[in-house]
Amino acid sequence: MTNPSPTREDVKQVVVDTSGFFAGAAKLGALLADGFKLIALDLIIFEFVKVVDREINLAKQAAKLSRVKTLTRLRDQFPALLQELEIELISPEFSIRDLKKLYSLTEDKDPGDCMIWLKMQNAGYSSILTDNTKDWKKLGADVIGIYDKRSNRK
Amino acid sequence: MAQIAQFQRKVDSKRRIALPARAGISANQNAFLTVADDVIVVSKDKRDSERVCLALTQAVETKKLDALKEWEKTLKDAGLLHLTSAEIDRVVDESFADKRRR
Repeated sequence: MTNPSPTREDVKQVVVDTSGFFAGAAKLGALLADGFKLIALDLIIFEFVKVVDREINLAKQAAKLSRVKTLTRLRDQFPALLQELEIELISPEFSIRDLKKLYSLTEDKDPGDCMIWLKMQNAGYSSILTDNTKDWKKLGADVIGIYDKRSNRK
Repeated sequence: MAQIAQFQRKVDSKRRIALPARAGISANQNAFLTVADDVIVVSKDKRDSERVCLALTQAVETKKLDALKEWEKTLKDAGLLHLTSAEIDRVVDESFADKRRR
């Protein structure tokens, strides 16, 4: 108890990829226990909402009312989850220079991931929690795999 | 239950603040400051301030774990607990295609 609290610079920070909020949900607890500060980007929120909205629409079309209710609960729970876990929501800038970089990156990679990567770098982040470790390592990110046994690779 | 009161003070140029009278800490007495993240507990009793900070930290951790458990349960109920990046990309692509068809 006599040790001073870590400063903002000492805190390990990791961006949570969209898969981190689904398949990686269990891993979020391990990262928080390890003292990580979790970050979410605007594009990741967009993907999350897009996925849940589509599932809701499909359930509505199939008249699966109980599923619509569950998915709506999930959608409504998301802001509370971000708040409770103190996940910081950021919307880093994206310039024409970044767009040119994006063109050079997307040749064999997903444009969405590339844009997230560029925005992450603009905000000063290099670590990401994802299940897609191969592609993110190719981009040059510091990757924490959802299925890694340890939450901190260092 | 202890009475909780809140006081607002301006920090002076030397980063000092005046303690409220009801804190029961008089001039030249020792004050113990325990820091947990952004919260500072000031007390004349070192163990008291530690206890409050520990309880606060534990309460925050419990709330986080509860929120995560609830989240995982809803994901499981919705059948989305194991949704991968590849599946997310596919759903997002299909969602754009749906919009174009409409």
